[in-house]
Amino acid sequence: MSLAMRLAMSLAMRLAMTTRPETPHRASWLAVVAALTLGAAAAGTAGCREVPPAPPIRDVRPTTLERGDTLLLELGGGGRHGGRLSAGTEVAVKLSGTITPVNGRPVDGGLSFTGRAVGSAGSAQATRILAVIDEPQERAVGGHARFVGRVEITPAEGRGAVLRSAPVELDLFPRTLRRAADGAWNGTELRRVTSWLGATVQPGPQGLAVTTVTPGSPAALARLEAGNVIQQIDGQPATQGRLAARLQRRGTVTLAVKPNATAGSTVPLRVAAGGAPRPFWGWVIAALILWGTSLVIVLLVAVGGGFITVWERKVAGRMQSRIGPNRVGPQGWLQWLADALKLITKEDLIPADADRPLFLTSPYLVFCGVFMTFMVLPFSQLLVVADLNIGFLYLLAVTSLVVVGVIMGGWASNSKWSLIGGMRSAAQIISYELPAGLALMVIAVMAGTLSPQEIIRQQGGAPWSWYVFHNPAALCAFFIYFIAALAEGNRTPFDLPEAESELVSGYNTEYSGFRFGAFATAEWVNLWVIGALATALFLGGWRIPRLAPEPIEASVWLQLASFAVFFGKAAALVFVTIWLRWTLPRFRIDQMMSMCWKYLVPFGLVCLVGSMAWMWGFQGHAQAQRIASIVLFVGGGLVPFVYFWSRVRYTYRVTNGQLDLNLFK
Amino acid sequence: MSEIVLATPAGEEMILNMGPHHPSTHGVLRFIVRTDGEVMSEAKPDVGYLHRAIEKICEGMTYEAFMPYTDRIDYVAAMPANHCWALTVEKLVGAPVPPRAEYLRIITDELNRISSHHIMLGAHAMDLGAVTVFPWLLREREMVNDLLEELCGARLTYNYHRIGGVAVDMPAGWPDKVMRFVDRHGPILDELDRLISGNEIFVKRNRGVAVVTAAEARSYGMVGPNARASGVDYDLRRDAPYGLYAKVLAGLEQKGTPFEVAVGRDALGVTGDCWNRFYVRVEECRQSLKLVREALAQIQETPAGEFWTPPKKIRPKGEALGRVEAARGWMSCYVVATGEKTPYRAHFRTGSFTSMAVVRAKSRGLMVADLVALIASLDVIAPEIDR
Amino acid sequence: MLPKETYDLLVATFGEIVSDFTEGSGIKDPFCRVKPERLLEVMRTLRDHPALQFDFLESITAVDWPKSSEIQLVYHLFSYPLRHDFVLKVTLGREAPNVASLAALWDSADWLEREQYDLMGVVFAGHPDLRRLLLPEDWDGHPLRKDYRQPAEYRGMRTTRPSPLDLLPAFDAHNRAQQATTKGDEK
Repeated sequence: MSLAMRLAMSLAMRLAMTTRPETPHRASWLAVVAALTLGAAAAGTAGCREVPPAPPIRDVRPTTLERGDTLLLELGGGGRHGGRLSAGTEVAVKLSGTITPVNGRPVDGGLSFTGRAVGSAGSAQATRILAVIDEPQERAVGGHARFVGRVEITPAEGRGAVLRSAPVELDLFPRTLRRAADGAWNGTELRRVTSWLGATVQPGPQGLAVTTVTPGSPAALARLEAGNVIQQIDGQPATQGRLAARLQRRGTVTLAVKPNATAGSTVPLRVAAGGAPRPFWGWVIAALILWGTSLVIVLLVAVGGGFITVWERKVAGRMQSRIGPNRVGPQGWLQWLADALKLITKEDLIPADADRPLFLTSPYLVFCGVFMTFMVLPFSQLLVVADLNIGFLYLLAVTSLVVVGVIMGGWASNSKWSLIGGMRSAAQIISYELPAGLALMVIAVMAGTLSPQEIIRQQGGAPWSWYVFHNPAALCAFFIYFIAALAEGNRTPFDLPEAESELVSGYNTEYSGFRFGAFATAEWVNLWVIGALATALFLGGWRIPRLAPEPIEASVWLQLASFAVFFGKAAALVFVTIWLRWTLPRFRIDQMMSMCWKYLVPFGLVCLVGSMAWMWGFQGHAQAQRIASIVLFVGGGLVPFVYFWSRVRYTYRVTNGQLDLNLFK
Repeated sequence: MSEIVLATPAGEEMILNMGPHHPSTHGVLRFIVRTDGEVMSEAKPDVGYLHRAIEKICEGMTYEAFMPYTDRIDYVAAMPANHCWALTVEKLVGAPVPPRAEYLRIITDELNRISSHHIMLGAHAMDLGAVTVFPWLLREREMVNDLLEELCGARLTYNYHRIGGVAVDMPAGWPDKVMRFVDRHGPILDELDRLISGNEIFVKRNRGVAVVTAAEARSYGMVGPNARASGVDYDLRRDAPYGLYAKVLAGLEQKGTPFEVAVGRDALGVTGDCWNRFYVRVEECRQSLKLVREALAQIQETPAGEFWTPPKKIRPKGEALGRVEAARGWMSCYVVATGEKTPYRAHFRTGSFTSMAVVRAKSRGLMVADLVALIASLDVIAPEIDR
Repeated sequence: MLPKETYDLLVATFGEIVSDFTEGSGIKDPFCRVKPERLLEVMRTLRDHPALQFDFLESITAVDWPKSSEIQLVYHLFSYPLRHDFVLKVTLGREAPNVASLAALWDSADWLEREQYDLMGVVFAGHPDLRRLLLPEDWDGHPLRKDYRQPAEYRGMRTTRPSPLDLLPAFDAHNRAQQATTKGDEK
């Protein structure tokens, strides 16, 4: 994705944040834009009734924190809405709310900081508070976790009224060596180094004297103890900065440590970047586990893709007044197995003039590009490999790998048809990533996050609480996304890269056997990705009507039911793509490109702005939003469906057709 | 035929060898395409892959014995080719044809025209990516094939017409079956319109592509649906009726449902473009249904069993040109006879032959995908070109 | 316009170039003969004369007459606006048949002439692209000539194959021998 898109995305996120209310009277659009350009995101102070003795909190940053980091609270200018806080005042900063480890259960908890109000130069008025996380509270942050709650400023003694509070969302990370080393390198934030190491050290005449060691930290794993004196780091005199810098570069360092200040001899200790040194067989087991799980995923996904091929062929058969495959397995449903076996046992032909290495690798790239998307697809609340907070960004990124594979295959085949197919494909997929990304931004604007799970949680189970019917812009965005996804997946009416009547078979013309099978599997698996993604983004994902996420999580049966809901929605979308393929002709390349650049991209931008405007206009009016959603659901969902159904019935009547939905005969 | 391309020219252009092993040339055509990326500068047709020297074969056999070979001139619509040969020889010999046979010829010609157009319409849509149209129309074509099989025993190469009549009379119950098909087929054609003719993408792909003006169509000798799509309002069945077409047309006129020659117009497409070439054929199917219906009504008045009066001895002397409106347009057969048992020289002039000649001129500046649409819309059939 | 009237008009314009109007007996479509020298002019008149307007060149047929050692070219013309037709014949020497091409007048003449060149060996002077149409470029001879003998092979491929009936005895013998050996094996 281009830099501009990333920028626009972050702007959109900012804008989403500015839509929270700060004061009863609403800022004008100009103010919003101004706030945008300044990069100042506002945090509301909704809970306050009386004028508090401190200025309002305007911003809390950074929003991703590591242990040992400093939290900075920007304070507003006081005046009508706020009191004054003189610079230099000691305050306690307390965060209370829930900490949710990613992929884990949320725990109630808090973090407390001690901070100091700091004023701008020469001013007695405090404009910001710098706060550092207290050491003892850190244990809650074992891995990557998300904090949602409020930040409160209280007087330093911990007693008395809350001076100010504001809602805040933070991403908490464990200390990373890289940032510790950065700090060490700059010589500025040594706290990070020691914080990562888990030991506090005191420079002394003999070296670095260890004063405390946190259990479980790298220091403890290296068997450092309080009272030890580090004399040398890799044979060089010990300084605070060197330890982290060395670790960052080499992974392990050897310390020369005296057990105590008075001991005569030194003991060598090894500190490893990854904590305790892992034995070799540990690596083997880890690799085996990784290999095994990925094999399971790949096989499951491939089998799913295989079933889609049979499904597609059966649907195509019904649509074309034929039967479709019905010989292998129960009513032909094992046809994919026969196809796969056949493809695997076929000769793997490589054209004599092909660019051999590229020709051989390209199917794997396509295969990986599609299969890696399954990392973030949320099949149910718990059935997700990784709930990345940049989930959809990741999705857009890895699916780009497909283009590389396709264009490589087309080029390496050294066939003119393959080449044209590859070029068409590259032009098409890269172009259509833009409208897809724009449609995604509409959702990002509404949800304020890119995490698939979070987006699903913010939607509801009933159709009118899905994002697709949230506002007209979202409804348009859904269609833009769906069209763009069809184009990215090379599906009719955008199947130009493999248009059999024009390009024989496009980029995969020269492929045979297993490699062809890899292309084919990727294509059909991608169908599933399209369906699942649209379901998660627009159609409420695994949400069950009238049920909040918490009870679903508590019950295995509800989990299964929510998986079924997700599966059903995604399958319906897959059916639509299959159905389109067997109905529509295909575009010509220039028509396809003009559709993307002249219609979808501008329209996507309009949708983005429209959705922002909607969010701004309707925020705080839950009732109006609900009515609008229901109106949209009826006007944009029910009415078209009823019209469509009446058309179908009419056609069936005049042609004496018979509806045949049974795919098991 | 068999132009061998050895080297790619220097510069920006690439030479693409499209066919005969290419899905949309159906194994019997070849185009040498000069292209710069997607845009072609020229597509040169290379024909002759199906050349069997039928005209030479004709010189070696009797007039009656040549009839099965005419099936192979256009195996998708063999009835009109049969008819053309029978008509020409009858003209030479002066043989009378019983009215029942004339009606049967009209019915079979029109049924065969419908089934031939099914192939064209389906293949055109399929070449543009809409695969479903093809099997749908094949399903309908199967019904026509079943009807013709019941009549003459063959599904593709009928060998049904005879000099002086037809081979067999229609079996009992056959007219009812034909009527059932005719009744069924009208709504199916409407459904086809809803499915593909009016489809936004399909119209976009065909509208204004490879426009052949009426003057060009006449100069290139394009005939039949292709010429009519360009606005040449001429149909042998109406303007130079042979057999009993005049009577059938008059019957239709009386019933208030006159036979209308389908001509291309500026509607969804532009006159002479690929869309009109497609739609003219849909319209022709409708008109053929009318003709079949009327001919079936009129054939009831003719005595059963009088379907063939074979001429005593076929040893004509002289020359004649016979014309019929075949599925791919005006097919004419020129026969030179010298009083022998065998023809001295026979020459067939077919619709596909002249349609194919237009491809080279019309392909300039088109895109590769348009070439596919152009070839499909011209409905060229290789055996008709190569003979 | 009737063919006779067309003929009279041509005679009035070109005189002796056009001759021998033939009608009746076995001839179903009346025709006249044209001398090849001024064929192009005659054709141009036929196409452009307001009373003729033959805008459609229906077909070109070459007929080989070895006895009189000549090749006849038969041109069938048709007029869409006036709905009449006309047949012209040009007689050429059989050894080196050569006539002006009509490709400049009708685009359809391009392929129609190429076909006759390919199959009958008539050379059309002034044709823009006179190559074989249906047969391979390096094919020997013109198949529709009456004295044409098919070459036994083309590029090492035989053009004929023996009749399966002739092969039958040898095939039977082979089968019998095969059966005998398998029976021997069983014993």
